[in-house]
Amino acid sequence: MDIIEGPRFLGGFESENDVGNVCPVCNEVSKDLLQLNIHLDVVHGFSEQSSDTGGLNTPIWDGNKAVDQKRSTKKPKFVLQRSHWAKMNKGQSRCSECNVKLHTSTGIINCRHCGQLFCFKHCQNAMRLNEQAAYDIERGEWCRCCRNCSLKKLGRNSFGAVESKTDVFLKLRRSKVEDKQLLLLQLENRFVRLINGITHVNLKHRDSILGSVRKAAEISRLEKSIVPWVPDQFALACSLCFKGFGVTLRKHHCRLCGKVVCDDGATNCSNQIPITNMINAAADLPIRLPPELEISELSTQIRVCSMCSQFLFKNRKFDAELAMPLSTIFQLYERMHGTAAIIISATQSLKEATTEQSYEDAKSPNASDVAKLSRARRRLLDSFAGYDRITKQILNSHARNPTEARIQSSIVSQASLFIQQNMLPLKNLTSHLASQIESSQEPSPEATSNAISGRSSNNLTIQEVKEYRTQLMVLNEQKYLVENMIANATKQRKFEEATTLSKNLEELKLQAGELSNLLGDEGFS
Amino acid sequence: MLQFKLVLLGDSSVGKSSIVHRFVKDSFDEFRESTIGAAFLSQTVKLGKHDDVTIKFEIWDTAGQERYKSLAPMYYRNANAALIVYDVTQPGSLLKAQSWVEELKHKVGDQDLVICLVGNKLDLCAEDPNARQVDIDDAQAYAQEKHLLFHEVSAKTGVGVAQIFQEMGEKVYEQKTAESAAAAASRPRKAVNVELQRPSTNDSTTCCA
Repeated sequence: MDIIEGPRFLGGFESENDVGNVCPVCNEVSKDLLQLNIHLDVVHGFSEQSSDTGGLNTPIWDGNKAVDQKRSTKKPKFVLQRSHWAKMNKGQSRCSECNVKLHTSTGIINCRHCGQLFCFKHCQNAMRLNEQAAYDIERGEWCRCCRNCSLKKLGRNSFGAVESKTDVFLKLRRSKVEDKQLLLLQLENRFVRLINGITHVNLKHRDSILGSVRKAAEISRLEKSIVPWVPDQFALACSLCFKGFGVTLRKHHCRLCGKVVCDDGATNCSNQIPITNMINAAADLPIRLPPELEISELSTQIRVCSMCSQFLFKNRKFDAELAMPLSTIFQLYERMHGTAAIIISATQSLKEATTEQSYEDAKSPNASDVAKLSRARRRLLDSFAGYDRITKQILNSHARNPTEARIQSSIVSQASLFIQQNMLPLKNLTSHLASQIESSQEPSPEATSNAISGRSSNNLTIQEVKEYRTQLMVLNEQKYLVENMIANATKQRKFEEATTLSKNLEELKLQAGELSNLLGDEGFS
Repeated sequence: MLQFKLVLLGDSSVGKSSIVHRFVKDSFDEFRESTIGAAFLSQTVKLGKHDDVTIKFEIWDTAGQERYKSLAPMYYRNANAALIVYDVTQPGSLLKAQSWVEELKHKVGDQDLVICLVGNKLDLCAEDPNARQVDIDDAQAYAQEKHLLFHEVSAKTGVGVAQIFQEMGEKVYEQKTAESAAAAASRPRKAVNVELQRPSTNDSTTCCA
């Protein structure tokens, strides 16, 4: 919500020249301001009114009464309701905020809004109130109020007024973008003209013996005609990296913008670029290559500053890369993503189905339901296998550059994480399923397949894995306890106990190690 | 000082920890929390029968909950004494105790382990005679059959707790001395046995243990 409270309006000057000394009430023209003042006082009886305007509506400059009177005649006088104000009880009233006894030294003020009494310190906020002392943001007058009222007023927020600057920003940005596009257009124009000129010159001097000399001179003339070069004497430092020119750092001109830049390899401010490269990079520009000239024959290089080359070629390069077909890694990753989505949804539905099943009839699941469940399970396992296959393909595919190699390794690690996260609940589900099938009287072929697939890589049944895990957990807990006991015993200098406990700790560690070996991959990572 | 490893076994909430605390600290906590894993405590016992020899019990108080069952073998292995506790108001706990006895007899050679069957919560029977669910004669008969020591105690009032440990101490001490005597007899005469390690005194009045 945008709330804009204007600056506190205390009155405004109106130019006397524009209005003239015309009485605002009866339009009688007076000779000067003093006369108008007297006229108003006498005829319209403003003299008493202006004397008791005091309080809320008193402008800061009392000296210029005429202006004040003008204003107050336009606007009906603001009279705030006072009936709700708390009465001052001498020696007994206290500030509602700090509870200090109120007297003249602390200041005695009613909050205009809630009417309670405050000391001066705790009634320093202001809000716009109408004559009924209700909050009125549009037509209200600024009135003194307590902090509480000011905090509670409608639409107040703790971060102050909010003004949407998006439009301003968009406008600015649009103009910036337009500038940029204009600049780009200009550069492109120059570039096309330059290239066309150079090819023309090349063609002209292709066969002559003295061609190379004349060609250089002509190209140089051409370059200068396309963009006016900044005179050398004005350039003391490179316009891009601001390094001062000298004997080692020579001045060069960018052939597209005409600025003087350096040729420092470290900053790469400007480079000699073969025009054949540039023509290839900006193939969309209307460059007219004479048909009788082979592109490969053009050996001319032109100097372009890094700014211009970026301007001209960065977007083109980006577009070109976008248009390129995806590398195999990314194509595979897209497929992998699809498979992952399938797996997640399938796991969810399978989980729902099994819980439903167990609610409905825990004792005797009927055969068709079990068959349906195991079909779903098989589908899920198949998609897991597919996922794994894709992961392997990604791992085996060749990365074109280091960035891709990094992406490749990230994808693979993410994939293994995904499998770990989603296989585990699946295993729980399958054990659940298996127990259901076992409990049903007739062992179906599914049961055997379940029992087989229920076995993990190191020939442990799920039950065993579970059991060993609890044991390992218990051992680890005990290890922790014994460690604490040892610490305690040592603190209390009971070294005999500590040695006994340490022996036990060794035993615990040994057994824990054995168990984790037994569990292998099924252990806690 | 001779040290003996003692382990407490039994169903959950029969009062194993309470018995140990009565013995070690002579205190009773009405609202004791169930043990996690296995707790370790030690206490010395003076044996009046054997010229006031002091022996030390290293007590492993195991948790009775099923979850911690896998820890028990570690603690009853190499133990010199086992206290199998049941609750006289819970017939199920005696069955559990019997299964523990079987397990011990099965896994540990019974000649070197002193087992004592203990019925706890005697105070509840004193309050209300109907509370007793396990007949003392049944339990005693069972103990005799299996050659176990037998006691009925109350950790709350402390009745009989000290006696268990006293009797067990004597039993394990006798066993130990008989063993060492046999070993000494079998050992060749000439062998000189030098005690290299000074027996440590866990006495707080001396600075170096």
